[in-house]
Amino acid sequence: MSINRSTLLMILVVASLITLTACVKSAEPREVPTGAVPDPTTTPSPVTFPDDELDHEARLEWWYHSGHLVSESGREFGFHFVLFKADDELSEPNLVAQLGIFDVETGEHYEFARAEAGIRKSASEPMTIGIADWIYGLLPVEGGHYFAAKSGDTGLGLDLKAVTPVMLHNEIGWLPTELGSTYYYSWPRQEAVGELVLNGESFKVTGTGWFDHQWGDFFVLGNPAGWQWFAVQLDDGGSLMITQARGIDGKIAETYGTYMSPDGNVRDLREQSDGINLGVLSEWTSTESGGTYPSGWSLSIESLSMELTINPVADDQEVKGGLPAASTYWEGKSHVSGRQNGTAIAGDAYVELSGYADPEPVEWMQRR
Amino acid sequence: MLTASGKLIVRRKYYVLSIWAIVILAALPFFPRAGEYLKPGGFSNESFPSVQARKVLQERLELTTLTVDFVFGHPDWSPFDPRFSDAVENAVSGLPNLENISHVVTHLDDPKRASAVSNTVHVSAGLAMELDDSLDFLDTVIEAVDPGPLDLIVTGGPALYRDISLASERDLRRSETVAFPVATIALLLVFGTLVAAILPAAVGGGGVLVGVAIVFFMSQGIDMSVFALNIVSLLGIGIGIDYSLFYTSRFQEELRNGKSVDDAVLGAHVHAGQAILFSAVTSLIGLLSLVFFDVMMLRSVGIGAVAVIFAALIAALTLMPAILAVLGERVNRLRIVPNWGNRPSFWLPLSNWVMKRPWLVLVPTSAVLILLAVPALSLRLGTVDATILPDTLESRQGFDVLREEFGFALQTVIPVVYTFAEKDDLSAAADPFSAENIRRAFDVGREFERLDGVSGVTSIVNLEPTFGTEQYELLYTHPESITDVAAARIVEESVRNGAILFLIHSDLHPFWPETRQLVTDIRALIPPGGELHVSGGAGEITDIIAALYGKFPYVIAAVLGVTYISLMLLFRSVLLPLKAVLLNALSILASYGALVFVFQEGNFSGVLNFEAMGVIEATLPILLFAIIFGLSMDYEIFLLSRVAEAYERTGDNTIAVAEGLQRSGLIITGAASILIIVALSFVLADVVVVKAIGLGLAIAVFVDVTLVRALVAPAIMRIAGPWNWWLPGWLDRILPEVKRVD
Repeated sequence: MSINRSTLLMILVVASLITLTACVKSAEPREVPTGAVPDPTTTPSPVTFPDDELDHEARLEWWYHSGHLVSESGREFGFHFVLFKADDELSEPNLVAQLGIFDVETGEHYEFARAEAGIRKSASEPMTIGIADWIYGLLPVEGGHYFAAKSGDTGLGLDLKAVTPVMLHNEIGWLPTELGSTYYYSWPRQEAVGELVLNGESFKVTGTGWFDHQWGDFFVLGNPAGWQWFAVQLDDGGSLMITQARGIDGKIAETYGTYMSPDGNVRDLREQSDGINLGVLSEWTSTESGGTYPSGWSLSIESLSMELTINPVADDQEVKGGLPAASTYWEGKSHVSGRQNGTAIAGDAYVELSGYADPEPVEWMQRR
Repeated sequence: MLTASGKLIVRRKYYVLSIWAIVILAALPFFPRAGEYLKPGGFSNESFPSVQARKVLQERLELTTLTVDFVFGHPDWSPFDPRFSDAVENAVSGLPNLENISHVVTHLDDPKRASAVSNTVHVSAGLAMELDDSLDFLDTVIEAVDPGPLDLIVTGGPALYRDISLASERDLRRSETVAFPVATIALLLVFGTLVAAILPAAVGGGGVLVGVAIVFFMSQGIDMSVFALNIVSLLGIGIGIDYSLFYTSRFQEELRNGKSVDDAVLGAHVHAGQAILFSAVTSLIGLLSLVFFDVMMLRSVGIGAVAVIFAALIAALTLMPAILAVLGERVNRLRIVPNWGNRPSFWLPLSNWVMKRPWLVLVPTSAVLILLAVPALSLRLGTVDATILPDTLESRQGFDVLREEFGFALQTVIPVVYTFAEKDDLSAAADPFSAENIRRAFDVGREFERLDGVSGVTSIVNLEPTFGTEQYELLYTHPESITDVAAARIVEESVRNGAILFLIHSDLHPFWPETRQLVTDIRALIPPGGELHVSGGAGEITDIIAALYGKFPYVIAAVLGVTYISLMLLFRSVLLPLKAVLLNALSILASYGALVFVFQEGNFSGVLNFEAMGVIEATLPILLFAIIFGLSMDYEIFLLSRVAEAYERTGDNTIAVAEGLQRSGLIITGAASILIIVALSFVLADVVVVKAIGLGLAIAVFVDVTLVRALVAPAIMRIAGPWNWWLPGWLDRILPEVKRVD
């Protein structure tokens, strides 16, 4: 036996030592490449019904109803019901629903909110979404919706059915913005039937509603950015949507709109080509949020030979519940009067004013 | 040395017994107090990058990943019913006043915390402290919450951690309660007489008592884990009984051979004592290896085991001979079971059968062993979550609700802090919303999105895939004006001066190897002008496994190497130690294979009542290696020492192997049976990891005493023939002489 052989045996011992294979491969350090680019934006697809009435995979989506109601006894109310869906696509979407009721007789404005995560849908209906104890869904008719929202002894339940064709905004129902893009269409007139309960008192109500649906991967900024939005329902059957948007510098970025004539023809409106002029007549300051809102407007549209004055039926129709402070907005029942082609016209409107209340400062930035 | 000590003990037996009586009486008060200074957990380490990153997360972003989670429910009220919301607010209103509570989040802050399928709400209270410190604080938190009309389940890290500790301890205590009576019955079957049967249990117990008392004193000076105590005491019982069993049986054999009591004690002391001494040395080598790991739990098992084995060894070599010298022939009194020694032995025909056809035995048996070990190739290391707990425990019930209704723990979220300036730097360079920092963060965020296994990234620059730096600059012109709920929360919570938090989402399970690969890939990235700090459970388990398995191959190599040399010294052979360590390794691999087959892949999960995790808890293979290596080496040394003794006497390898197998067969089988039964009692445990330790240990020992020790080892020794005893001349000259001198 030689030393070599014994040495060999020793080497065999070492070679036979069992080592567990590493489960994780080590990675070579590398610098993060610079100049990353975002994903390309996709071209918009046509809006179709009823599919696009349903919820979409989108960062932000809302179904918005507003309108004017009257009870059997002739008592007038305004309402707005909106369901927001915010989805960061990494977890269940956040749902926030808001209900606003304005009692013309007393001048009282009521607002309530509900929130929930995830969409509960009914298998038997096209779309039924539960938001806590509230419910929102589609009726089995084109342009038909319903909601039932009650909080304590006050609430509203309505069936809403479109009585006009759909109104696609920006011609195809799609709008690019500074921060993403949004699909946007309206049913500008919906017949509303339902029941309103106010402080325990029940009213059978009928009336006319306006419906907006927007969805897309876009961001909405608050003060100093924001908008003034008008949903006008004229007594002659015409319907008008006007939006004036402000950029993050607080300056007016664009004013645009859509007009549907009494016979259902839809016309896209642009500030320059159609001569849209929007003026503020007075202001109102909220004691709660501190925001100063326009209150009363003059609106003229040269291409429609239309001059309107829009006045809120009450100043305090501010909405705060359920959303971040920067989202506080004003949503108010308003009256419309004016002239078109020299003829006196009148109507009702709902006006939305966003980005007027001061947002709460970010706590850590304030410390900074 | 053994001869001299044996003679001394026989001569001074009553002194020795008196000293032991004093030692045991002195140790007795400390036995129940052993856990007093032990710390919970002990899997993590301050030096881990993930622990450092967690501190960065706390200091720079004021965030903690440690939460106490409350599940509130009501049979009728929906979560946003004002009565429910008010009750939740009232219930947790006292929490923000407690020191160490960093934040409280309810469904009113984040609607996703209200269940979509039941009247259930998830509320979290963040704790600004380390997990180990949070266990004591947990009761304070629970006391501060008054659920009023709501149902309440408390879960979350501290609650789960505490229940895992308590349930493990309960399981192990229960096993210990079973261990002694079962071991005594098994000993009775081996020895046949009550006195002989009680002896090993008594001496083994004495050793454990003293060993655990040593642990009590050591734990006051060294950080030791509560998990260690139970494993250590169980190991002490197993090894202590092994030693005493071997010693007693040898004493009986010496008596049967006609020796006087004193000579029989001396004979047992010299022959069995040496085997015990060497097996203790090999066990100590295996378990001391644990001291080299940077994980307190393993290190304390190592330290505790050394104390207990040392005590067991001293008890076997001093207390046992003293007792036997006093008892003498009375050791065979009170016979209850027939004398096996008078019956024809099963081991003689078996050894003769193996000697006649060694290849026929070796090839198929080795094939079976390899087949048993094959599943070990697909071993996936990981760690465990609350599913290892029985669903009768509150914390597990809460975890199940969070998992089923809120998707808790099904996906991985890896918090990564990108730091690029100091905390108190108020210059533009530290402004996270500056154009330059947005551009840099955007590059980092997009790179994270490209890594394998990433399903999404949450950060100030990963909100919308089609957004570039221009859009983000615009968005953060007035961060307070953001109305998007998620984005507003990100601005509030995941960005500060000089630091931006990225939450990296993955559909991979937090504790899978693929997730650790992702952590490694993230850590490999060098961000522009700053550093990345990877935190969270995935980061921590990556560090734990790296700390364990970075050293494991070296520890294995060292243990096998030192064992090899020790055995070479004992048996003056090159081949026998090699065979011993290889066969040991094979037994261990077979147990790994069984662990993978059962606990990783989920086979027999119904019978054994557990939920398969898809991974093996990372400390298990190391613990089993250390324990099994020591135990199976005991058996190997018991066998080889008898073979070597016979070879010295006869000079005939075949006769020596057959005689060695025959003489050690009953003792090894008896010792192993005791350990298997005790280990199998672990399978009834509530905690899956304890089940796994038990089954792994039982299978390894079973394989070791049946296939390895009874068939493979004798077959190899028969085939090797005189090579078994070959030692090169130069090696013979340089190796110190350690063989006994009669």
